[in-house]
Amino acid sequence: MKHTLAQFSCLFYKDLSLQWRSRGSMAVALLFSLSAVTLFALVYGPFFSPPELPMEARRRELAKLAASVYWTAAAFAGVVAVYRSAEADREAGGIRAVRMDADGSVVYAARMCALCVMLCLTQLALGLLTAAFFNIAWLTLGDILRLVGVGVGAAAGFGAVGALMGAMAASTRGGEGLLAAGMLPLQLPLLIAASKCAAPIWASEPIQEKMWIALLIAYALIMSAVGLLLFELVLED
Amino acid sequence: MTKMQAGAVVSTLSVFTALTVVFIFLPMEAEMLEAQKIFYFHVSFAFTMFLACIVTAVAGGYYLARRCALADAVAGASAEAAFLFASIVLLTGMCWARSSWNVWWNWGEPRLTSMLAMWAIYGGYLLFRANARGEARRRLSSVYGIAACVMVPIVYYSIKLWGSVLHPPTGTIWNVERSMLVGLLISFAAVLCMYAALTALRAQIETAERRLESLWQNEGRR
Repeated sequence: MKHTLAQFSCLFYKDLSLQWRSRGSMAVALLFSLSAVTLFALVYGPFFSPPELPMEARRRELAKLAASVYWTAAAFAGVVAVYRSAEADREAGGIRAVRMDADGSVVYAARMCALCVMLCLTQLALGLLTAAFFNIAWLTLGDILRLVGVGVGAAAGFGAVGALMGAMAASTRGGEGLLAAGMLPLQLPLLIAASKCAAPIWASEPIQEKMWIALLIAYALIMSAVGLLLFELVLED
Repeated sequence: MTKMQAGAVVSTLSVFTALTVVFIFLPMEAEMLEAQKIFYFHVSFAFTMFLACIVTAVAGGYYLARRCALADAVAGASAEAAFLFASIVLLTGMCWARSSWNVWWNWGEPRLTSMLAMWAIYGGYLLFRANARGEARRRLSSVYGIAACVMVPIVYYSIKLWGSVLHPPTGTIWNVERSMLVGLLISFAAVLCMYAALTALRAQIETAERRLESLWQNEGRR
């Protein structure tokens, strides 16, 4: 157990360092979200929703827009992060070179956690950008904590699929090009659930449809279990 | 006549029979008229698509456990059928939606949205499979097929989980009028035959391609 934990922390640190070294690519995701917000602002007008609408309705409209822009940018940032990790694997001579004697599930867990941490940091930056550009000033501490909860759940699910798909892409010639095509459809249920959960929170309202929370958690857990079970097979020669 | 040819003939005949029964012998539904005929094929393709997804995952799992090349060929062929059938389900569903809800697409409908996600996932599977090579292709697509199968219960139970005012729950389709049920069972049997024939044919082609590839490799070594 101690040995496994040591292996995990070593691999986690390695993956996190690799991700951190390529943090410049995260700026691309932030720029992308900036472009998305600008585009929405130009299409919907300077206030996004007509001022004659009651405050509650305006909040709701803004929150829906904010959630969709936020999760589109987060998905883009996630693909960039997984792409970078797959590329780093290839550049460093493949994931097998850094595997040591660790079990596949430990390598997977470390990679998933590193991706999750990196995605959480990106989401934090994206969240601040979204709140500023959508003029969302009504969030309470409770709302922020709920948003953090949804963000961590989504990052865990994204990391679970991303770690598996990244290793698959690294094992395939030209696989990086296939990463988005293979990974985004698998992330779609997670992204839908995350945006459905986040939209009412951005409007500072309770989540009415609890099923989206259940889907978010269940999908993240199932995909993590699938990854833990099958990752060893992906690493095989 | 080879087994494959016999299978193709049986499949063609069964589809022809189903079309004849549905369009000539079954009575016209009073409210939806001809558009209601979509129901027989839409439901049959949907159930067969679920079966194809499960076969893809099971055959993929069998390949990972035993490294049986035939299991991988069956998984790949079944995934192609699943993608094709999902496309048919989406298209027939859109025609149905236009006729009964007056819209081509409704984003508030959980079955449509989850079905679209599933279609995209199997599209991703086929893209991945088409671009990977050698043993990695078989191994990785098996892993992808198992992960993709997670969508089957999500799509099946989507109406129960999120509720829908438009789409009827899946269980209620068996509570239709007797003649309609007969028509549904006949078209279901026809689509099943079609699935079996398509999967067997595609798996055979893949096996032949693999044999040819290894022959070329052996020739190259000489």
